[in-house]
Amino acid sequence: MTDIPVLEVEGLNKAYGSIAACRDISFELWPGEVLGIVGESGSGKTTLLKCLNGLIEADSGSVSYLPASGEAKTLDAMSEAEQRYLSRTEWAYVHQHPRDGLRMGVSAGANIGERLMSVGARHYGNIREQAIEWLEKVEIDPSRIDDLPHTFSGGMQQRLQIARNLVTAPRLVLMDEPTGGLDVSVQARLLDLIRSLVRDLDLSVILVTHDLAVARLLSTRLMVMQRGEVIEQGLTDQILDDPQAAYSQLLVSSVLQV
Amino acid sequence: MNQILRINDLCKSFVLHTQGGTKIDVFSDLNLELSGGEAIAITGPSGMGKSSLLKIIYGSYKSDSGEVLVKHQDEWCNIPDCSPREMIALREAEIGYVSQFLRVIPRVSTLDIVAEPILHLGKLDAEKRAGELLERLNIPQNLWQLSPTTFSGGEQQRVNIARGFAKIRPLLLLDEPTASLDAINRAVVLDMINEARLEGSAILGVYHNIEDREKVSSGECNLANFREAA
Repeated sequence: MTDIPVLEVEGLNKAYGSIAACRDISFELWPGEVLGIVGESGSGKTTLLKCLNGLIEADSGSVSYLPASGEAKTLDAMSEAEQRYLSRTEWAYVHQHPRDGLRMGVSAGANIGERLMSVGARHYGNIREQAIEWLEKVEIDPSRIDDLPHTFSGGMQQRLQIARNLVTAPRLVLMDEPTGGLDVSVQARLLDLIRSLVRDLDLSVILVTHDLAVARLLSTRLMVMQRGEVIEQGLTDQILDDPQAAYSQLLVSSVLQV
Repeated sequence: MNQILRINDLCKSFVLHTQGGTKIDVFSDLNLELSGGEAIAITGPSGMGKSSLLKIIYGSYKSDSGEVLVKHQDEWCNIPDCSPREMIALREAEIGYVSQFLRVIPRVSTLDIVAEPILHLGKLDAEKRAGELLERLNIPQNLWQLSPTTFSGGEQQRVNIARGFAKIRPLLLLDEPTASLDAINRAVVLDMINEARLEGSAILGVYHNIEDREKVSSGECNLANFREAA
């Protein structure tokens, strides 16, 4: 167990006009940890996630990231070029809508290959081989490698986006409802894939989801958000089995049993 | 004796905010001590908080007040004070928990599920040990590559037990481990519990069946004694 968190967030605030989307949020993310963020829509989950890799600039507070090279640095202290470099290499962001995370104008294979090239891969054969391997991992028929993403179904696009993001084994993976639009059998396969990647590569993941079953299976720790605030956080099984805050209790007791 | 668990004046209640803030008192001022090689059965009528007690020790339930001390690297850790990260480390090293319910990602094979807690041994050794456990618990080999989600209740429970016993920890919490098993498999599980105890684990269990309880316990803790007079 390492003793330095990958990500340290302190007193983060973000408002849209008079609406506070994130209020005084502080937490740490440790290597190999999956942190789930749950809460109703509009509670600030996505805004928080986007503040963590600079997609949205927070109004106040700090986000400090520990890169592979060693020294932790806050987003504020990084140049735009540094942030962009990290976004292509050590960070991954899986958008809720795959179209936001894919390049729709290039083939599936190129979508995966592009990330590999940004970390230095140059050999065309190797890149294509890895692209095929990843298509298989996310259960997309490799014969579709040269097709454009817009010929894919929504679920396939989402899987392609995940492959594109994970192919370079990023250290920090931010996921916004990654399994939302998927049918359940693919969702199960992806959950298994994400979990084994976390284990094998020691990824640190923040997972925004409204699906408590997904949160239970994937995350070690949970934060419950309501109206921009973290109202409860703790071990996943503690939050789900013995929630303390009124809103967490409502959330857990509202889940339909299959 | 090497004590591993010490509970002092533990109180637990539930406040149900969604139901008008109803407060349900579970138990109060509960005291319990447990050492390696000891096996205590938690008894008492249904609704007395037997499972709740196990879950508090495992960190998945909160408590109102009192201490739950578990020995970790020669020091006592108070579970209500542990951060999630500390709790995970504590579980990993010291506390095993086996319930009646199997919760797994669909489509992951039975063998992988059982081997997962011991993957640090290397994949081959982990699978070998997982196979031995499954065989002992009479899960036919042709099911090992399948996901247990479609198995019968008893089979699922045995997969869960195999997983729970893959790595034997110093403190074992067992919540009705034999509940839906037939006589043969019940005997296997009871043997496994006794073996863990002989190897020095401390065992705290809830057993539905009195006969089973007597076969694996050296003492009893009746929760009815810690219920506040209504």
